[in-house]
Amino acid sequence: MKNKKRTLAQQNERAGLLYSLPFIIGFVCFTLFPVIQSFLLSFHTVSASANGMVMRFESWGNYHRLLFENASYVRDLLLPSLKELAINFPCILIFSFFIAVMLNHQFRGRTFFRVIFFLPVVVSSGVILLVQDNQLQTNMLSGITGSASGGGGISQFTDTVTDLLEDFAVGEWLITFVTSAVDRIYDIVTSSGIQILIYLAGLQTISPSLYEASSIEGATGWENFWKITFPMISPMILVNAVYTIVDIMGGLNNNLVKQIYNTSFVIGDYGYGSAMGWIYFLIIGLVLLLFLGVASRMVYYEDR
Amino acid sequence: MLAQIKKKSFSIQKKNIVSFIWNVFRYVLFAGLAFVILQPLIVKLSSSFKSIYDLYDSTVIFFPKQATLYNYERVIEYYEYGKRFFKSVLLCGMSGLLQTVSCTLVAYGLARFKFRGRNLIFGMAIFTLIIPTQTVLLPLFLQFKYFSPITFFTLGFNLQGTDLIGTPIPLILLSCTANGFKNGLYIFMLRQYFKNLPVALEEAAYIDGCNRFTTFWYIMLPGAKTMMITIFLFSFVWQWNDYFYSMILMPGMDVFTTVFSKVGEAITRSDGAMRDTMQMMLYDSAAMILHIIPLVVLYIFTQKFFVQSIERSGIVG
Repeated sequence: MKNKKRTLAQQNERAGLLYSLPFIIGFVCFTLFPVIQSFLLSFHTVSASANGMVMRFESWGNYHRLLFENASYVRDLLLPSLKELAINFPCILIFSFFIAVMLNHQFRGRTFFRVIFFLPVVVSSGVILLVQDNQLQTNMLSGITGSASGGGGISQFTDTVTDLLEDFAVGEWLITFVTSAVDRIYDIVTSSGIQILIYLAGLQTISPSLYEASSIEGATGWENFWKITFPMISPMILVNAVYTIVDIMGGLNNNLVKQIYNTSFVIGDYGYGSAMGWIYFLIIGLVLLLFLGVASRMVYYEDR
Repeated sequence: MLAQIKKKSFSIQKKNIVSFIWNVFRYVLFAGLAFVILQPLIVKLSSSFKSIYDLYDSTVIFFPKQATLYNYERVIEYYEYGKRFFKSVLLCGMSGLLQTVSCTLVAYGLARFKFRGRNLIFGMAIFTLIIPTQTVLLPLFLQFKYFSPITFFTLGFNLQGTDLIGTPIPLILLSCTANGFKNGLYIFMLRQYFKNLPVALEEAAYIDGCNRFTTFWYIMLPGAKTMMITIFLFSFVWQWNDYFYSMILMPGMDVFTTVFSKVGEAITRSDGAMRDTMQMMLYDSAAMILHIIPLVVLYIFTQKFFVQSIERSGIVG
């Protein structure tokens, strides 16, 4: 009997490995080796010559240059990225949760609004976002405003608000605050699609019988939310938090990411670019670990 | 007694008012947010039909007075739209299909079988998601530039082998092995989905004599159809919009994303003497609309499954 049980476990083990085999092979070939290699590259100066690449060992040279000699890396790229993360991350997380809870209710036109809220996943990702961003910059450079500025999100609306505030003669800081907040709304709404989807999936898994039982016991909607919805959805909050951090930090319109790309592939300084990438990656990893360390204790897992 | 009834009806009234206000608030909020999402698209759409005179006419806001198809004609001519469209659909469809299949297999293995290293493999999937693409792109480029079986073990530093850059093979390899763009996310989503499907179904299948593969094929796959369609949509869309992978691994391919960011500029330059930077924006708008129309059509067709897959994932409760 015991023997038979072990073979079942062994069978399971083999089946599991077999199913995940493609990924394991791919991971080793296309992720692990490149990661190791880029780590090695970050300690070298790489230059292209007639017969291939020439690599010169630099030890910590690239890192030293980035952190202590080249002031613009930390000041203009790293810190703004982190600031962006600190502001957008809680906004996206809370906004998408709010929207998901509201979309989970039954009301007329729900399907329509769902379609609209997921639309940014389709139409403002990747290269489209990049182009929009570039066009916005060129438009601002050439001073084109009004109906002509096609790509600039809700910039028209921002202009109106700015005019209005200027008419009221309020302080400069208030104007910048309001306009940046309004501009941010567009960013947040368009980057919340996946998060809303994940939250909705989580909300749907909460059994209605839980709510029924607690309502019979006399709980209010508010109590239901904090005692049932929130703990049951907390694993999804964790997932969304991780996804949001990754998404913000790795986004195409992140200046640091663009700079890594430019340094490596346009200028051709691969070693320097890799070092930039590695510092960035270590910081993302640190942020994630810190976050997971704190948050995973608060997450409630239901044992199935 | 009467007072009680009065009190009750009052509380019902209060409830109605609260729910009415809540409803109004919801519609106003949603309409506003929908506007924020749709407004840039509407602006793009309108300016793609504008002629250059409409830009200098300050009375024109959304509806061009001298609507023209000129922008579209130029962009379609520059793109060679038919050819490029066909190739893009082929490439994205293929990579989407391969990624969906490979991610489904891996996710099923991770969701349903207990084996040593399972958590490690899941961790690896998450790792692929968080490493910045830019740091691994150069080694990947070198691997495919000088592709041979030993490349992997020399960490790509040997410079001999077949040049695969500019062919779809790198993308196929990455897709087959569930290592493409954002595949960690797909593995995660599918794993979650499989975990939520009832185990009883499989147990019944095992008792009826299915083995571990036939159970997967006949029992689990039909159940996961909607989620797989969602994943296919994601990978199709993200491949269609992908910039870095396409620019570096297949620079010369005749697909949209490799030229998309420079369309307006290139056409404006070919205008020669009558060059106008304002015109560039109109070309860009037309190019943008042409770029997203296939995506929007696909999205509208699949959104039914999309919503279903969300609802289905809650099947067990």
